[in-house]
Amino acid sequence: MIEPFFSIQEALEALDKKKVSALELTQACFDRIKKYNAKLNVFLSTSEDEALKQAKKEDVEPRTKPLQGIPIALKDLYLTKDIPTTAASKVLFDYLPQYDATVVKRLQNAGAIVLGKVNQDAWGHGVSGENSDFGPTLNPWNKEYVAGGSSSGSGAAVASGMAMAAGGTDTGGSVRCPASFCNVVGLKPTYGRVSRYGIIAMASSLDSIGHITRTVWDNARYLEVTAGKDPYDATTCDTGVPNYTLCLNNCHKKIKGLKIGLPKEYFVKGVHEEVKAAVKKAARVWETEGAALVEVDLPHSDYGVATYYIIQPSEVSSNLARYDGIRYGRSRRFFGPEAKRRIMLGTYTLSSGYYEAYYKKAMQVRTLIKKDFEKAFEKVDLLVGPVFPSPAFRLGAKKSILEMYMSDIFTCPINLAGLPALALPCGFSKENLPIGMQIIGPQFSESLLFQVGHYYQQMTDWHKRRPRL
Amino acid sequence: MSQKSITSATVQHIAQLANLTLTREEQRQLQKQLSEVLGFMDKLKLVDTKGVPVTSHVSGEVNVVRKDEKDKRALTVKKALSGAAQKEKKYFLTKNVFS
Repeated sequence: MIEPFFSIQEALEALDKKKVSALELTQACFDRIKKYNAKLNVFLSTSEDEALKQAKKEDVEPRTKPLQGIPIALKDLYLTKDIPTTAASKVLFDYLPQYDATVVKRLQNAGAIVLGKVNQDAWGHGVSGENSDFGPTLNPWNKEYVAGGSSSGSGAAVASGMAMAAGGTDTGGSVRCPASFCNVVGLKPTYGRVSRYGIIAMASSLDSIGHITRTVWDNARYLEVTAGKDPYDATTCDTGVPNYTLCLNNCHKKIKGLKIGLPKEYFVKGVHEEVKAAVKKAARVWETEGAALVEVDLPHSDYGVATYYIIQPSEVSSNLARYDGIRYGRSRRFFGPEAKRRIMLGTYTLSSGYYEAYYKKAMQVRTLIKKDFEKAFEKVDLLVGPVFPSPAFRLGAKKSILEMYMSDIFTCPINLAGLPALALPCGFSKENLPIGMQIIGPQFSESLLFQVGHYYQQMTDWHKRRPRL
Repeated sequence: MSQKSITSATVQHIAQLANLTLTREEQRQLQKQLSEVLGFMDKLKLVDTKGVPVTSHVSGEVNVVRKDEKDKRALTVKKALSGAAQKEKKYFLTKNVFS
């Protein structure tokens, strides 16, 4: 009997014991996709024949690979050879990549089965999924609400049992936000931990290749596969890749004596009371095991959004310049309104006469924001805070552009500083909408984030709740 | 929220730099939206950044180079042309930029 909400850990055990086959797991995912995708608008394209063929192959081979037989989805920014890749934009409506992203190759070599490509805000531009050129993905917990963005399809695919894991990208919160809104686990790795080669670039100094799973253990296993230096991405680091799942054994021993910082700027007026309460209650779980909770200061927090929304659109305007319809894709007139807005904003802030006042100034404030975190990590081992100022909001609720941009307030500073952050479920609102928190660490501290997160998931069961579809 | 005043001439100039063709309505909307967003950005003027170095890159890597030899992942000409809207023999066709 296939359990649609198997974790990767449970599925690997069932596969090892031959209680289930990769073919059965993959077929079960496609059955769910056929049943629910029209309602939720998660997958933009599926590759059923290829996936079933690959699953059969993984069933025959000896079981040696870390994700062998595990069905996954990939955000449509990931180039997948000969499989449509659109960035959820009409500009790339009929684009067939000529090569695979490094991360795609690593996942396939690890035995994962790619089910298809999932929906997102076009080009990664958004916090809700509403900026997709192909309609928004709906939240599996309540179809009148957004799934979170920009990796909306990734969050919804895992939350609804259509896939066991999903690749995403996080430039200003785009893995953590859908994880938070959909009650799943989302990692934004350290900048340079995971290769960006073959993944459509949004903002090259901020993009982080993350992923979404149902549990922290699953998330750790997935990072073992995707992390590591890539000669095709000069920004990846030489730092060794630990055995992240092995690090989870006896994780409770890590908690006693740990210093966990709660940034006071992340619990201010304007943050939904239920979100603040849920995150503080979560922190007390670690305190009970012997961690110390410390209030810390991130004094430049108020400037994070302004800094981010100068640097990011500037880099976006440069990265999207290549879409001129000559080598691939269609005309630039097919860009949606948000893409045009960010290209225009970025072109302005980089243009002669404005570069110093905007881009250079933002790069200086970025230094100060990075230093805020460095100073905080002299006092504490980790930081904990909300991912988003509220639970998921209704489709169409955000009235203004600035209101949308301000929502990145707790996520974008982490990208500016290049730090890792793990988003995980920590409660539900009165309206039965998920609330997520994020654990933020110094660069390359993913092992510690996983240990602390895994301990939390052994003491709570928010992550085991399922939406009624 | 302070508004910066962006003129329609500026919008047209930026659109030209960005290689974007905008309708009159889009120009009007963008003028308003850019003014609002850029006005918000002005809050960075309040931050004292005297003597603060820029951060353009957070990973600390410097001067990553490779050997100057043929990359085994290089696409064949046929593959490289496969996504092109217009091509001729081994070339991408583009607009004439010299006239």
